Amino acid sequence: MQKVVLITGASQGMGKETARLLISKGHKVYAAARSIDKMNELAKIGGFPIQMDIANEDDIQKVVDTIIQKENKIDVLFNNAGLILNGAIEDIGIEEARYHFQVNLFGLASLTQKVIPYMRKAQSGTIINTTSVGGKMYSPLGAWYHASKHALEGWSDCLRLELKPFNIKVVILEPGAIESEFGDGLESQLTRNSGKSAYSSMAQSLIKSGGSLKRSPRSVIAKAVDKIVNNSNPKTRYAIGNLAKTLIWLRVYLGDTLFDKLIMSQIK
Amino acid sequence: MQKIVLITGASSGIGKEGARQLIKDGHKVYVAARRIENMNDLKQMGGLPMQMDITNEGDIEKVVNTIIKNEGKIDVLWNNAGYGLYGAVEDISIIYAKNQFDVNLFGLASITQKVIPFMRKAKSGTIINTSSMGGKMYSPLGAWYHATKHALEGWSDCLRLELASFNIKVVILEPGIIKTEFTDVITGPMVKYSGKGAYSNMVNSIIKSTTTVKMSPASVISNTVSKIINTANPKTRYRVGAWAKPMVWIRIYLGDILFDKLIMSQIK
Repeated sequence: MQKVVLITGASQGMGKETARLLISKGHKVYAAARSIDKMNELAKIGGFPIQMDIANEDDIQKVVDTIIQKENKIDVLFNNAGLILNGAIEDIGIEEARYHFQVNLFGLASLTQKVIPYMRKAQSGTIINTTSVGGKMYSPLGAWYHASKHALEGWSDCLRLELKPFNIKVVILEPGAIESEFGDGLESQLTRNSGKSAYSSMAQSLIKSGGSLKRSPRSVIAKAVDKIVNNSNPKTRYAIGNLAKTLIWLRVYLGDTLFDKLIMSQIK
Repeated sequence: MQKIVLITGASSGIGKEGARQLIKDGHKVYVAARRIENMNDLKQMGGLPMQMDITNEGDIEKVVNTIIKNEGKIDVLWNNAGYGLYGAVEDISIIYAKNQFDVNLFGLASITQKVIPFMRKAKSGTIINTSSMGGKMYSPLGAWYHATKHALEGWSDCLRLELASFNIKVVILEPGIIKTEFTDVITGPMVKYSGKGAYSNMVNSIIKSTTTVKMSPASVISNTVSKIINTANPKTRYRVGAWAKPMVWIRIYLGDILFDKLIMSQIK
């Protein structure tokens, strides 16, 4: 069945890959991102690019209004836009941390708030929130990223309970190591934020270990989303991609002290 | 051994109770809160009250500078200030959600950032972050509170790894249901934001269910903090008070679907 889908952060990475797949499956896909010119190819294959900065309330309102005006409903909201932020807690200014949350949590929440009333009216809908395996585990010099993803995990769990009576599904997507999602920013951010501080040797070790990590292709995420969109009873969580299931399992069953040792042994 | 201790949110609840205990234990206790007049009793016992709004950078800076000027160090930072924001995701405006994060996470992070350099210099220190069992589980109409506490959990895990090499301990305190906090903090706001509208039935059910719930006195927390301060090698987490251990255990081992059912069955 053709669905009306809204994807945020659709100009690159997993968002774009997923948009491509869902368009090819015949869905009506609204692809939102800051740089609309980076979504020309999606327009060519039948997608509907729409300019939106997730940190901008007016942009968000405009996007929802436009889709509702044209389609009268939104079946699927794929909250995919997100940032990474790497560096020691001591080294990162609170304003930067706040902006990180603006994109990864508050912007996402604002868009979700504006979509819910229409899904409630339709007594149907699916909201897919992209957290990360990092929403369940932790690593040094990634505190703000892990904080925003942990927050989104708990927030989404509550939302699932709140929206269940209205037949709105809330699905948490937990990607593991996915190609070019994390690699690019890691080295430059660590160097910029903590390259010359008390944490510089930790930053160096992390950069070295991050380069050798095996990553799954973005298509594994696109396929998972396609499956979720077509499932009338999706699971609450999908941990997808290299290391996702393993790391979550280890974090739960090892306990803090052993998990600390495991993580630190990987970045030496 | 007498320690220099800084407690935030010390004008009421578990913060005040904890301050009393630590003063009795013979520590030099700086107690910070917005309303300094609410800490006169602590002053009479030998505590050192300081005016501080945790969302005000200038206040935070002044408190840390004053203690360092007087004492030359801070041995223990107990991040205790925090509040609960309850109501449906759909009903709570993002501005309130941001304020919840300003107090429960960003303010806490800011004061921690300012204290760390002095602990690093001393090659010693203990940071106790008050999370909640709500940082590990979830309930409907508590999304923003649970989000802040989930965030603080992951953030503190990362901080522990970052500071281990400087001999600074990071301890996560996860209170269960504590008398002084629970009912006022949760049900008041819930009625205010979601008492009318699509989620009013849920609000009424939750209020009904909380009237009979078992609660622990604040002293269980102050006893624990007293123990943490006197331990050279504290645990990474302390789960203390009614429901804390079983709820977190159940959440971790039951899986989402069963935990959802359990929570919803309690509020019917």
